[in-house]
Amino acid sequence: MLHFFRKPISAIVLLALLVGCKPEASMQPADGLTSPNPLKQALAGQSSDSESVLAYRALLQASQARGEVVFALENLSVPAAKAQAIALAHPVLRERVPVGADGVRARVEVLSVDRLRESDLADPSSPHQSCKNTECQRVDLYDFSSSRMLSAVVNLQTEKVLSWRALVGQQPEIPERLTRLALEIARSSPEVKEALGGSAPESFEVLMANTKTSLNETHCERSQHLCVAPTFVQGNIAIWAIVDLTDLKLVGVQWTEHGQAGPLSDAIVAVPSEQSLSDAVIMEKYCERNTTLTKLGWRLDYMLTASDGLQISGVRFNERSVLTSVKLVDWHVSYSEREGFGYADAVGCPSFSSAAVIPFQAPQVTEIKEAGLVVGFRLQQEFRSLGWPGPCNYSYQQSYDFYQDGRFRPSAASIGAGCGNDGTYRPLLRIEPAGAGWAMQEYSPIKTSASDIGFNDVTHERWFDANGAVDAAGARFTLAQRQAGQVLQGFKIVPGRGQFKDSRGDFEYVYATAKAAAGEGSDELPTLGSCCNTDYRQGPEQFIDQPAQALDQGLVIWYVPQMKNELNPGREYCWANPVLENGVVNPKRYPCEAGPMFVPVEKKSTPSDRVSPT
Amino acid sequence: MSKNRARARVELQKTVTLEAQKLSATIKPNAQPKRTEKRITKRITVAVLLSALLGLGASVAFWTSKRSPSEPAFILQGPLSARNGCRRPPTFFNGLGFGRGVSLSTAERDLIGIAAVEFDSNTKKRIRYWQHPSWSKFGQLSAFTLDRQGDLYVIPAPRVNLADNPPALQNRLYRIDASTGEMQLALAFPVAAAANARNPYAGMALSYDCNTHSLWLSSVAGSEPSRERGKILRIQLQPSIAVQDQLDDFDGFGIAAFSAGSTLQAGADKANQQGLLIASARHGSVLLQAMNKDGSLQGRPLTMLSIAGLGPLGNDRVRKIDIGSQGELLLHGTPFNFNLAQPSAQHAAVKYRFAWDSVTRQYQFVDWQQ
Repeated sequence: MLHFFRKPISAIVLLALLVGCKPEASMQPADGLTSPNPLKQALAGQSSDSESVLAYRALLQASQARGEVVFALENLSVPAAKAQAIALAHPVLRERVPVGADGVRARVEVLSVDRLRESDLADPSSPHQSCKNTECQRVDLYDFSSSRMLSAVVNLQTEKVLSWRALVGQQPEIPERLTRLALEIARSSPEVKEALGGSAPESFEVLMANTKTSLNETHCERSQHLCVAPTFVQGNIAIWAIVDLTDLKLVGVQWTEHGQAGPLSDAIVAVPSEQSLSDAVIMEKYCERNTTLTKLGWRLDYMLTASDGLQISGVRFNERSVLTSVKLVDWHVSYSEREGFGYADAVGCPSFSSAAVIPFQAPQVTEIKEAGLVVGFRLQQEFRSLGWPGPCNYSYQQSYDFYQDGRFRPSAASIGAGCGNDGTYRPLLRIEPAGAGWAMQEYSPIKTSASDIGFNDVTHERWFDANGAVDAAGARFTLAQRQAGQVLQGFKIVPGRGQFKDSRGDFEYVYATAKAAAGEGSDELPTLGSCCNTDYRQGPEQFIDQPAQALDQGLVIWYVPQMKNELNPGREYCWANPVLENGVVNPKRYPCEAGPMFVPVEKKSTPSDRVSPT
Repeated sequence: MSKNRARARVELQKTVTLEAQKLSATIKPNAQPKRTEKRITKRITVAVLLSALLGLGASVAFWTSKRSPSEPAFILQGPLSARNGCRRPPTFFNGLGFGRGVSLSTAERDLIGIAAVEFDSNTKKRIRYWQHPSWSKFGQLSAFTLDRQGDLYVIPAPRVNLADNPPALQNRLYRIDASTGEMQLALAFPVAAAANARNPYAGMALSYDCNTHSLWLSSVAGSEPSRERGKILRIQLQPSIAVQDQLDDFDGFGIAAFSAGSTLQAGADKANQQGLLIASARHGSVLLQAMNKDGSLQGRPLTMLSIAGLGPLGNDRVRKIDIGSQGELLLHGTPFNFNLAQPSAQHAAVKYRFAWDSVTRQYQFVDWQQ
């Protein structure tokens, strides 16, 4: 069985004999177009570690507890074991393998120990010339914290390490113990079970007996982790699983029913990888159709757009229409120390889009709890540049919070990591309340009479300067919908003033525009406004007509907060740093989030549109 | 031994496509494809059968089925030679005071359009640049090529956002006059549908063909996730600039005209092959497209090789194809997913080398470099 792993080609030959020898007639489509044979993909969901992963983690911990810098291989030949011992005792390793703030040393494992080959000595300037006459071994290690291979050449006679070499971007040989672990992770996953039609092999041995199995290479482009792709063929199902050996988890599964000749498919010409799999799933499920979410009295549709982020639409609360749609049109990023330097980034679908920053996973729905009780839920989408958190690569988070008491809050967060410490992020949120008959008011601290409650009518299109005054309840605006003299619903609009998590305040520009025809955001909006204006000219002002239109036939609220990043230790904001934690490097996130809370107000049977807090 | 495992596997995959093509190319008109022909070696068997697992087996059937009985087979008789060696620099450079290190660039982050740039050879920092006033008027630009008269042709493509590149204006070819340096619209090329927010691209690559004094342009305008609607265009430059031939429903990226057999293998029995190398914008494949002596296209393209699985990401597309003096291929890879995400600085452009193997009479992967 283990021999099988060392000879993946043999396995492939066998499985190919099964899958490749179909009747020739099936290869001759009648019309030249053939019936499609679509691939199926699934991203791995959240699941707890399998027994095999827990056992492997325990081995790693035990190795570290023994003070070992590197997790060594066992059952080696005598010369290989000696070479491994010499390499692992070398002081450079202890110096170069860092320890995280949590006291856990970076995870480094020996992957292989092999006799040095003649070809390794061909270069006369090689420091390994002594190996021509004596036996030398090469010891390959993999540093999972930095995704690099370390290679030592050991002279067994002199018992010295002749050289160390670090290689980044190389796919190393996977040892038997990790091969078996990868297969086990795949076998025990719900996604592989589903691909097998629900009939999961009960054990590793059963899997091996019933499927043609091999271990192929793949890439995890986004995480930059070491990933492999166990492949299985059982009956007429061919499964390609992507396993992350750094995080010891399944990334996703792609499978197909073979035996049909289909047209050349985009997805299968490329080797399946973390990114291709993720993109395919997100495109199919979230870019080409709406998903309906019903929860805690709320009902809404959501989907990813080509350039306007995650859009929600048809939002209803307790059967009453609240919002036509909300979306994130653009991110403006400007750098104060460099005049005119910055970016206007759109976020949206991973392919066939005009997004500069794309989703790296599917939208997530999580519970919002207060005092241990579920009071709402959050719909969230994160977008990332491929090189995040590297310099000038960005991660943006878009969220919609809905509460069972009728509150809701659209928000946008930056998680760095920009091009410097002088960056200001300005997301452009477009919020379109449902229907007509809305009346908007702005708070003013200057009272004109004793009965003045401080809110003045906003009847026509206009923009509002940053960081306006708020009332005692934190509201800057009110919004009420009337029909036939009755107030149907109303909200106070409460901007961030530091009261929300991950927020130092919104410093928001706000724009109220009349609901307009196409071209003003009801459909996809291309890049809106300049990246680098520091005043109200963020783009929505161009939809304020001259003369300004009345807002009584429906309005759109544009909300443009401003978040200034900070890198000072302990004060990081809109930023991310890679940190060594539990043996591997992960980004430490310092999000800055902004967005208005819409707080429902009770209906009053007065002729006034004015409302008061519940 | 295992250090070469990745390469071996990938080479196996490359062989899949080459052999798949060879198989389909040797099928007689109206004949059933015989995948079990005795001449198929064990290696080929492994490759073809592996392809079944990867889905590439389908490609055998696909290309076979796409071939009409009248289409000739296309088997390379030798290494390829480029057909752009006659290009000349423009004369407008004279008198601008640039040193020998001057070059043209559409990739300067702080400049819109195209610019003549000069870099310090030690610090690699830009020390000078020059733009004709017309060079920044048409938004961000991407691929460009010179012709034998020194005229420069360039196409637009959005970068990061659409602020400077309205989708409706992306199907444009611009010409920069060799002597005056002035840039003007040369052609609004045909598209299946205009670029839009869901596919903001039109022109992808451009190359010059000395033999026919024409340009080859690949476009993906109008393509959708499930439908390729791009075009490969041959654009004549004289007597007027106009589209003379086109291949529809193909999303191409890097493109280069070639000759084979005649230049490097004089006296070969099947000399004077000519065609196009066209990279796919949708995956890592490079395809062969046969053409007649007059530059007209012949049949449909056939898969020749692939960079899928190679390089640091394993998922690049070939954006540019250079054919070296010895027929070696240098393929410039980049991530591309029909969006405006930019390759990160950590993923600098990757070059993939393929060399002609006179024994197997195929191109074989050599290495990749960053």
